Amino acid sequence: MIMAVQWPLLIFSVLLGASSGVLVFLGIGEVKGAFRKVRFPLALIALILLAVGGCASALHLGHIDRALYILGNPASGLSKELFAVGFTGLMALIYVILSRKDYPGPTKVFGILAAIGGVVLPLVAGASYMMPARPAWDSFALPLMYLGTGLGMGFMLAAAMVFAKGDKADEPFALKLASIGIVCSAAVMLVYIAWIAMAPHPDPSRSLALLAAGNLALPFWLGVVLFGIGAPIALLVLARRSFAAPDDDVAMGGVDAGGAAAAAPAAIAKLTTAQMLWASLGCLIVGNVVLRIIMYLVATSVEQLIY
Amino acid sequence: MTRHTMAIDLDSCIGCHSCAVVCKQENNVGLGTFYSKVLTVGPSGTYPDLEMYYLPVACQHCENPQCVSVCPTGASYKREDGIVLVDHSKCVGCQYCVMACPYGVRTYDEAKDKGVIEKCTLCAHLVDDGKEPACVRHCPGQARVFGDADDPESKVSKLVASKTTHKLTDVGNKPSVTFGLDKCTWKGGE
Repeated sequence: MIMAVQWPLLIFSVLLGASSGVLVFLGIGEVKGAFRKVRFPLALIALILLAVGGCASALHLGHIDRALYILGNPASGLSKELFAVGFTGLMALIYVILSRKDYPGPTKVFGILAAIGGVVLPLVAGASYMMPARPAWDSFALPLMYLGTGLGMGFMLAAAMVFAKGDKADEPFALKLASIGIVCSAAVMLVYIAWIAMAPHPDPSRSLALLAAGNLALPFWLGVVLFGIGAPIALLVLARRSFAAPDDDVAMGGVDAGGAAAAAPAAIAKLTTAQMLWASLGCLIVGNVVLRIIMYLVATSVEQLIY
Repeated sequence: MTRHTMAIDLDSCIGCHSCAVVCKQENNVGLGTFYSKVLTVGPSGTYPDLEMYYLPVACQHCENPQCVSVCPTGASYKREDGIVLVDHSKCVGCQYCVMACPYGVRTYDEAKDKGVIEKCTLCAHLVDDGKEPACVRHCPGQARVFGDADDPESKVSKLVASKTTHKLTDVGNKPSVTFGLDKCTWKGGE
């Protein structure tokens, strides 16, 4: 029997990924002394994303009134996840407060601590799904997917903000980080798909054939491959070209020269670099939602006997 | 040390579903919810050499229950005598145990006791009273036996010793329920 898509958990995982990515982006900025102008709004966005995601995940519980019971078994993945959310949220909150004013030392320290939370949280959240009963989940590829896709979304969101509201001098570095993020995102998506294909206890309900040509082919090719990997990378490439030569429609020309833009609508070429980054982020979000839908739909058990 | 479990002689199971029905009666299991079911395995083979057997399934009261490991509140727990239970007063209904169970024998019950997880209790309330689980007591084919797996004189140990035995797919959870089957080819994972 196919598992139902757990929407509250899915929304939580996407939002916590984006939040974590933004915090890591800002942490790197603190180390490099960059992104001063946008660190407050970005940190606030990260905190809000985490809070909204946390509220969404609570909707998954049958008894929200007993939510804090979740700390009852610290060895369980869910308890660890709640601890990680608490740590990251607290560090992000302090960082938001500090970044509003200029306290160079403490701001840097808490920016880095929040970034550490931003790396640990997706790993812990993904690891809570690693269960031998669900072969498609039982691999470190899953927490890695949570981390890498979070970096992709968060770095893209933050870079778009730098281009929209930030310091001009920070733009090249922001674009570089967005590029690193999207490479990480695409790589971990491919690794996770490879895991689905290689997972033990092979079964048609969690196979590559199901993704490539079966019932999940449309969400896989359209959602994951096109929106999750292809389109965001193409838009980022266009954004980089547009940034390198902003005044003479280089984006379109560059694409034409490369051939890949033959299919790109002219409208895309007219977008500013910031708009291309926002569009890339939009594609990434769609891709991440679809990948997680697939993650639930292929999570069939080794022997689903009654339910 | 006592290790309560069950063994089921599939050669004696006639697929009457009495165990599933009496389980619902004894445990007041809600509409649409089952602690125990009887599955039909087969027919398999080529005519006229066909075979088929019935497979009663419920919680396997695993030695290393994954449902207990993932439970964030401690609501899912294993007693010293090996019975795996859910403390409904601690359950938050997160359903991680449902995901972690390899056999799909746990269910999220909104109807009866809203927002908690339900499963076979091995009729712990009867066992504590010195009786056998309802499904064992009412099995007309006497296919089900209950007892202490660590006691060589128990009905469970004797059935296990007398048959070709099988267990459901083990992914590290070590299911404790044993199935005896000599007349057909076991089709489950092992």
